[in-house]
Amino acid sequence: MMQDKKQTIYLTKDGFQEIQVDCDKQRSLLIHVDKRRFIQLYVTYLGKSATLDITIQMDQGAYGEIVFWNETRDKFHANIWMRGEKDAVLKLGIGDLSSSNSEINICGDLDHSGMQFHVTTAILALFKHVQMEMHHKTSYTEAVMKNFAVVTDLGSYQMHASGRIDKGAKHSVSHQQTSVLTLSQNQTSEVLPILYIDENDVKASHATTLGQPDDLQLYYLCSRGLSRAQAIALLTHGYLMPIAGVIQKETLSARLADLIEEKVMVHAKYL
Amino acid sequence: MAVLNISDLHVNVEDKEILKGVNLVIKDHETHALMGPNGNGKSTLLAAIMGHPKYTVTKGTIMLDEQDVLAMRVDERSRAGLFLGMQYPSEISGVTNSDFLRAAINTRREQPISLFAFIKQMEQAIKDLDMKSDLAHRFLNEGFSGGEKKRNEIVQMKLLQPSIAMLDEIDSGLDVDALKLVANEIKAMQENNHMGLLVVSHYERFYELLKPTHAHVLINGAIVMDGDERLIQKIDTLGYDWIESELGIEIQEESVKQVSSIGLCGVKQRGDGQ
Ligand SMILES: Nc1ncnc2c1ncn2[C@@H]1O[C@H](COP(=O)(O)OP(=O)(O)OP(=O)(O)O)[C@@H](O)[C@H]1O
Ligand SMILES: [Mg+2]
Repeated sequence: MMQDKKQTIYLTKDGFQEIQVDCDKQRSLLIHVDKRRFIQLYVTYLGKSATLDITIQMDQGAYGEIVFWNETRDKFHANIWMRGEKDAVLKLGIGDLSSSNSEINICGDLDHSGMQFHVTTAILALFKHVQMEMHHKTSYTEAVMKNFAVVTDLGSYQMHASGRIDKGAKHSVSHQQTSVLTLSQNQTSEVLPILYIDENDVKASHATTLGQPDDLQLYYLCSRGLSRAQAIALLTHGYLMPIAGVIQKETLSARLADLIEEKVMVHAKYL
Repeated sequence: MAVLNISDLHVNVEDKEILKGVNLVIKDHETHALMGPNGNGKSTLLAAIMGHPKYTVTKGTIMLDEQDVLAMRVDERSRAGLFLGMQYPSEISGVTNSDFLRAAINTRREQPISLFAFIKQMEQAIKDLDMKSDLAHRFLNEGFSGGEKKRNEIVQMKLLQPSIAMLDEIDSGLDVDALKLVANEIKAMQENNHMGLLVVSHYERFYELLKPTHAHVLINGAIVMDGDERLIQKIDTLGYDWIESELGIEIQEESVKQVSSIGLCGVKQRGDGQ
């Protein structure tokens, strides 16, 4: 029997930190960022199978760039809850290019003015289902959701992303964009962007693009000597690269770029 | 020694025959000017040689030395020494110029090029073409001005060192100074590696700088006239009408309807693909 294990990471100092979480041993994680701190946190999830509850608490005026990188092998079920206080800014990245079947739920509670949640997901899908909701409960809150996915042969990708703006949450901003590159006819991708808006004085938008690699782009890349598989690998890499920019730190970006390349090449072999 | 030999080439686009038997031989160190009114098949010829997926060769042969170009995939044609500087290069978000070019160079090497050697080469090419130094790190053609796109094609050509290069209106979008610069770069490269050139342009001034050894006029899908620099000058002053009457042919103008349907198609495709 797996034990319920809790871990709290309390971040009281500015700067970059990196941790690894063994999901086979752990069930819940609380990341707590102290007020007015500027933190960068890179978390790698390891192990075979995960059922995780993750809470990110941003105290007043805290700024965080946090990336969760999934390296579990079989199953990854995660509930992520983002919450905070006035003027807290959280930029969360979720990178899942793992072999796991993943189900990820993300909830953001925007209940103090000046709060901003930006979520970027980069997903290479065999089986990856994501649901997220950014809930604006008060005025002057902002949520931006950017989702990038590459769906491989036999893959299943679901992205249900919603922005919910309550009455009275004036001057709220809710934007979302989902871009899906499908590498096979033999896959299912479902993108469902939703906006529930109960207030007039807001800015909101959503955009979705979904499709196969562009023939003309492939032709252009191939006309310089790249094989079709190499060209698709390069496009795929480009698609997923936004995750490498969530934490603004060059050495980490370079590491993530390499990691993405490695994963992409594994798939490119079968193209 | 490279020879590109095109013989009786017929090409269809969407079941419409555009090229109706083109014959052309380009040897190394030669510069061929390909002219003709809009919509008569110049780009089609170049695209068919490179292997554009939309253009179907229904008859004829293309040989590069002893190699059957039509039997090769696009990437194989490139590695065999063909290069096409495109009239409308694609924009590719997420892929940096340098990642792309390094991959392209590596496809023609046993051992991957060292990062140091690559950066040196790329920086030199960027400098030669008087482009901004951040070019390497920008996404491929994304947000580039017309002229920057064209110069970027030449940067690629410099790094890939083809034996036969085809340039499709590479001069459009360039101002007078840039035109000179690009022409000089092309000439210098040709002096160096003796590449053969097939150049499409509507601009006599560009040809003047490149000094073509041969000139051809493509009308209604066939080369109807061959000559040298004098032919270019004559077309510059007189246009194409005299060729029509001299040869007793009539240029079929590109119909507006066709163009708009291509446009829609292009937009739809792009929307699907991103
Ligand atoms: N992708 C395409 N789909 C459909 N028709 C096409 C396509 N590309 C070219 N055509 C048609 O083929 C004919 C030749 O076009 P092409 O682009 O080769 O002309 P061109 O000589 O290069 O003209 P320009 O000087 O304007 O560049 C035109 O009638 C054009 O409409
Ligand atoms: Mg053309």
